[in-house]
Amino acid sequence: MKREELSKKMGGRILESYYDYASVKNLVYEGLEFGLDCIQVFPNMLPKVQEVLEGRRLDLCAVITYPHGTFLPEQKAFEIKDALESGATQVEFVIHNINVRSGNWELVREEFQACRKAAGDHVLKAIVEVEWLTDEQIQKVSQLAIEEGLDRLTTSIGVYTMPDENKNDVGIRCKPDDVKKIKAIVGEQVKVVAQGRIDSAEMAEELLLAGADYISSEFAAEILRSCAK
Amino acid sequence: MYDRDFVKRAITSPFASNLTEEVVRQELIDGYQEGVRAAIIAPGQCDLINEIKAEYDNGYTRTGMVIGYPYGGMSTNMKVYLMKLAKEKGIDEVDVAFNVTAAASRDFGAVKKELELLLEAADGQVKVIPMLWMVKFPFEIINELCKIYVDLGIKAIKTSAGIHFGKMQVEHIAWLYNNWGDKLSIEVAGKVRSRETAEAMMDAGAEFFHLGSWRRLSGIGQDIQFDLVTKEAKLGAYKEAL
Repeated sequence: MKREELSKKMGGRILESYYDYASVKNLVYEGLEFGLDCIQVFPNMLPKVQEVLEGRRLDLCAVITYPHGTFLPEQKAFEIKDALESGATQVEFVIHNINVRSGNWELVREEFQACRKAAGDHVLKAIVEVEWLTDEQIQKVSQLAIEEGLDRLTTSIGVYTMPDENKNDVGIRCKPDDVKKIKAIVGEQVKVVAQGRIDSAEMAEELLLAGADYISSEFAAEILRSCAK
Repeated sequence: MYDRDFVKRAITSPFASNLTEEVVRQELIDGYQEGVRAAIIAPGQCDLINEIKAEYDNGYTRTGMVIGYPYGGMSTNMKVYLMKLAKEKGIDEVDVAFNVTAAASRDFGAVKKELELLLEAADGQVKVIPMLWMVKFPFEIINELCKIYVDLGIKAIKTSAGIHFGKMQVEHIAWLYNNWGDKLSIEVAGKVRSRETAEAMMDAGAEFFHLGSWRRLSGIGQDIQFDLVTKEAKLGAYKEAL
């Protein structure tokens, strides 16, 4: 896939504990250079991002109640409004998956409604966390996302690790099946974002082929640099 | 150390996304019944923990809530909003994740300013326990953070978080205790997976432990295990996990 084609579907992100202001600036420059779909940042990075942007256009996605979604709808709504007031143009919240895993579907619906209302016309994404959910739960969440007008569903928070055979931490990676399970329900009604240690153009293309509409990766710039112009 | 004494040093935090409502409730009840030091919840679980405390209060276990856990990436507005919530709900203590991007940039003024606002919102009614991210940051940054915390009158710190690469080491605790142990009580968090390690950390100066495996490490039973294949979360034999 050509760089320009992939960049429109690619989001960059820096959501870890060791990123400094220079990392935030770099992400903005990468977003502008490659024409990324968006850059995904913590809400408290938004002022720095605005400072670097100096009025230039780049979609800014603030993560809400990240990485644990165990918040009430009004708490998520508060953070969404706060992020939008600080310059976010998209918001992505983590679903209260304890409710999902407990079958509290009306509470999940209320959360989606509250977030939709708080986000207004801005792009609203919800993180599903496929690692924890059964296929049935993924299907039900996807159905509710359609019914409540969410714009995009993201497969995972993308930062979980698990130990390998030598007890070294390895990151859990997004799999084509994760994308397919959501896409099979939402079709074109809700867009699907693949997220989770996506570190090569080949992996990104595989996920797009599986039905992802967007790729979100901390390696976005590296992936795009590896693609032919 | 006797097992019962170890339980008193354990802290449970059942708010991960892979749990169910039933498992969370039972974990909190068990924590109170066994007498852990604190039961920590997320902002969406305040009413639940207060309900359980009303029934199972033992005079020792404290209620806690996280703010900005673990990356501290929420805006100051959101953190203050949540601190006011903790105060309103009568939560005893709050684990606060500081602005890590500012700290990584050596912008310690920004870290301090935010904490001042949080302490103001806590109004002396909620104990504020900030994190350090020892697993990620060099001692030079940890030292600056501790200076800020002591300047602001903070009495306890939480060393790190479990959701990341790497784990806390005994050497982290020894350094922390030797440099700040007379002013800051040390709560260890960050993948402590054995009683042997925990006891070595206690010898080095640690006081309390945030543990997913608090029953196993205390020698009193099994803990919650999540099965990535069946997607079930229930008490079971320990397996190295997330």
